[in-house]
Amino acid sequence: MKVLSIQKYKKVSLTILLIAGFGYNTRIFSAHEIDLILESQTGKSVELASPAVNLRRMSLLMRGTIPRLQEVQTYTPEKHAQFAATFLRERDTAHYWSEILGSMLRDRSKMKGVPFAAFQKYLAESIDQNKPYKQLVKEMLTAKGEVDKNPAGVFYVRDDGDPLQIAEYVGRVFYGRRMSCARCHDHPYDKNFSRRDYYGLAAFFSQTWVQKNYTGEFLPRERREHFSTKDGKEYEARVREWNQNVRRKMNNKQWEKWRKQNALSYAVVAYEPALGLRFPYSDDAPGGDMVDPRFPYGERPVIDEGEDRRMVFVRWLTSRKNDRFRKVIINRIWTNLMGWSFFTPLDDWAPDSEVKYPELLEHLDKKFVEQDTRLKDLMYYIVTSRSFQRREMKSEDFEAVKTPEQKWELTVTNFPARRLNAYQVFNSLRRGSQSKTLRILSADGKEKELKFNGEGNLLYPLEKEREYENSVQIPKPVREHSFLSAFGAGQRQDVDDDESSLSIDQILELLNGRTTNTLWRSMSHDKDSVFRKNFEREKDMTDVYRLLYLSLLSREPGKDEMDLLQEISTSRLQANESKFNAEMLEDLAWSLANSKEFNHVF
Amino acid sequence: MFFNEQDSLSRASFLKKLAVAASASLVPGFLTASEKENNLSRTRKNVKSVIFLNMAGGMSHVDTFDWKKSSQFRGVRSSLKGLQIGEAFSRTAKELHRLNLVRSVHSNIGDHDGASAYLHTGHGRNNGFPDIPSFGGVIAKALDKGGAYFPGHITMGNKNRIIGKGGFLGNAYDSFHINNALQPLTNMKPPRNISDARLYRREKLLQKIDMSFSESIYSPEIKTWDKMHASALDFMNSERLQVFDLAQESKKNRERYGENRTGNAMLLVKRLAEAEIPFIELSIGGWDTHNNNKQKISEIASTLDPALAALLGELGSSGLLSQTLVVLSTEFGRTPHMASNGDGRDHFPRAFTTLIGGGGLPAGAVIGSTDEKGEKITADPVSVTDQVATIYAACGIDPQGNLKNSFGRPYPLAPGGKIIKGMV
Repeated sequence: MKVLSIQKYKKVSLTILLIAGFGYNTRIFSAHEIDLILESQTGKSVELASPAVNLRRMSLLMRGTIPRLQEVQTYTPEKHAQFAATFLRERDTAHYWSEILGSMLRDRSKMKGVPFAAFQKYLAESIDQNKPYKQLVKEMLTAKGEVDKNPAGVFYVRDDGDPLQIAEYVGRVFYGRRMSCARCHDHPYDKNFSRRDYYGLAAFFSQTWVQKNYTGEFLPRERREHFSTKDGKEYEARVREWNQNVRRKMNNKQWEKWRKQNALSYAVVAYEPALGLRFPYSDDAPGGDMVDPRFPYGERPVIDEGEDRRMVFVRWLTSRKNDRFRKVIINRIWTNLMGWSFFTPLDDWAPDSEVKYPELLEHLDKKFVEQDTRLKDLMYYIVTSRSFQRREMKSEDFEAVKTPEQKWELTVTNFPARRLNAYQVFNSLRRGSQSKTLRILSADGKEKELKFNGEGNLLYPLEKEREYENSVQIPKPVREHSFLSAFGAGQRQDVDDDESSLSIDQILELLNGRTTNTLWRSMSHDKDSVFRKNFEREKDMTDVYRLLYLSLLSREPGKDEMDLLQEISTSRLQANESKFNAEMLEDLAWSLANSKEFNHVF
Repeated sequence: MFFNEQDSLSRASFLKKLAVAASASLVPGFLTASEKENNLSRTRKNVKSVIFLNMAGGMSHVDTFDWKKSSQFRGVRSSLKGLQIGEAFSRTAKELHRLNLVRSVHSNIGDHDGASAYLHTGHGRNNGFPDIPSFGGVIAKALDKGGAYFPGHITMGNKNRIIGKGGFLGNAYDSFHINNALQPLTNMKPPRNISDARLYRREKLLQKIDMSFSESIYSPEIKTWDKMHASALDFMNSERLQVFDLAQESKKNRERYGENRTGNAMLLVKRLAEAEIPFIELSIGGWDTHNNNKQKISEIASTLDPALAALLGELGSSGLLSQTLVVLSTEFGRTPHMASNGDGRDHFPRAFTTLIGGGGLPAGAVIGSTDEKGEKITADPVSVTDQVATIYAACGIDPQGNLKNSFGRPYPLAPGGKIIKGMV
């Protein structure tokens, strides 16, 4: 298969466009760079998916939920870009991406010393405002002070300010490199990553620690070892002095009182300028010396005495010439939207990792810089390409190709279906059932008091409720054995620990779970049910079935599906179609929600 | 074909028919590389089931199975010759001859999280590789007989980061977790108010909607979906579900184990072992006795002692013990001297105890010893890695073998672990 160079391909395409002249629908023959580059690589131009499929795909991947009924009824390919722009402004987009970034950053709604859900709120607001990504990262990595005033600092509280843990997570999440191996030994096959390099990265975070108990709290003993001898002596002298002049002057009761009065309501990210990091002692290597901060892969930073090392690190990380930082997040966003990755895993771009279509990644990086690293701008750029709107991958295509290269190319030119994640399942059930909220029920059916949110503002995790409009309101990590956990929502213990693999629990939850069973009943029995109201108007169950298909699958039922519905509902089990058939409604809703079609994005 | 109400189909057999229909479209599941590659072959096949009793929190050794004069409990005679154990476990004491006592287990990890990870994997905690499986997952996979789906890795009691994890072996080996032994199964049955006719109708509609979709749209995940759906129906209809029904035990037996949380859980453990479930873990918490050591241990023992004695007694007398490996262990021991508050004991990984036996292992042996205070090991130290190696070897799994993790890196099962003297 001969592949044209990009330049030549562009020339050819533009020439065709010019020759073709007026009358062409320019949206179909778009000159979107993403498409031009991919087409030059694969030698193929993509076929588009149907409008119904495109709308549903776009809605699920941008907003974490299936489309609204009126969107299904009004979307056309011409309005694609307009719909994309509208979606990006909606709060559901901020909700959904705060879940994705929250999972990446191991956010927990409940953390000791942190106001409830403070970090998630910070993420959601940052996304909603379309804050440049490099700004967001800068805020997190250079955060200082009380976390209720500066919730970006929760980034440090999460790992208790431990420089080694911070380095590992910064490495994985922002730099795209797993370095944990090097905590204990030189990297097995990457010569450029030794134990010293690991500690060199950690040294950037040596000055940061987390105060949790009371104002003016001193460094814990194990951190004080990392002062230079001179600074260490000075620090110890300060501690001694305080002990003599303050602590020892109080009896236990007074001390307890003092601690209470000076207790920190919330954790403080504290900064100790002279605090360094010593290389550990071990059997096989000398240690104990102060480690110089070192950028990954060996470059030496220039750090003035007493300067906040994190600032130096962030300047390097987010600098124009450090494309790696940008490409790591581009890859992540791209994978979520397009269904394939430039490199995997997303958090470990090794020197010998294969990178697919590096020119396209380069191009996206250039664009991302022009967009001032704003994530929603990047998303818009991606979803308005033809490649995003490419047709679904079909079984017969897959069976026809043999080699791995051909299989790969198929993924690029056809959209591979994948299972919905927990957030998409929850939000789609809620929207698809036309309910205002979805009530999570435990197996023994315990429910709590109802409360509704106000309109307009972002939704946030709720501490005590059980009814939710959006999955973002459920505190993270989700409770084990809860509805969301059955669908793989992770425990927020590791980066991206949401699971996308299928489990028996999910199937059982959909087949027999209380949460969904109650939902079907409310769809047929609630006075306010959209479906009942529809029947009251139309007096025809067939129209209700149609409404169910449009609500849950975002499409019209096919003829054979309608035929089966007729056949089944006119059995001697049911009466005629002009009587409201609550049971049939529930049964159809159950079937739609258990279908593979509902549970996948394609 | 309509459901004919005249037919005397029972609900269960009706659902079974649906399961068969679903299985007919079964396609081999899509496995990740590490799921496909990790084939565990066994050399020794005596063990059909492993019971792991996890004393969560750090069980004080000097007050229980490595009883010392400084214990807060009196010593009572045990069925292990010449050995006394803490009075709180006087009933279990009479059954100890069925197992072996290891008094010289040690580690250098003193925090719960790290020590529990070590206990369950033989490896120190490793943040870079979060998907390391618990030995429960490994054993469940090695002992997997295949066939219709039924969970092979079952956990009860509290979970933590490592308990119940199948890790890179795939979610088939994540544990099926039971929160309440009296109500172990949830979401297993359709709502009662849905008639069989409606169930039939639902499945028919579902098949219709699915049919055109899976015929056209491709994805490896969709194939897994079919497999899982069939597994779920298998599970729902499995005759083996009766194993979860404690009401099938005689009243006498239920009373012997104790009609309480621990007793019920232990009785369920026994039933699962009878059903030859490969790996069953029961976590008993409350052992972290930094204060009120005596009171808290008494409280735990009030239900644990009779339940444990009943379990060992029944496994022994029924002969089930010969095919069931039983291990009782903990993250670490506790300080032989009292803590500064006078009534507690703190973490002590330097020496602690494990009970291990059954599965064709010898019985009644006492391995290792500690000094008269219980502070120092005086003979035959057994590291936690050695303990894990022994458990694997008992199951016929080579402890020096490797698995492949999700990065393609070798994962050694119990590197350097030596089998406990004379056990396997």
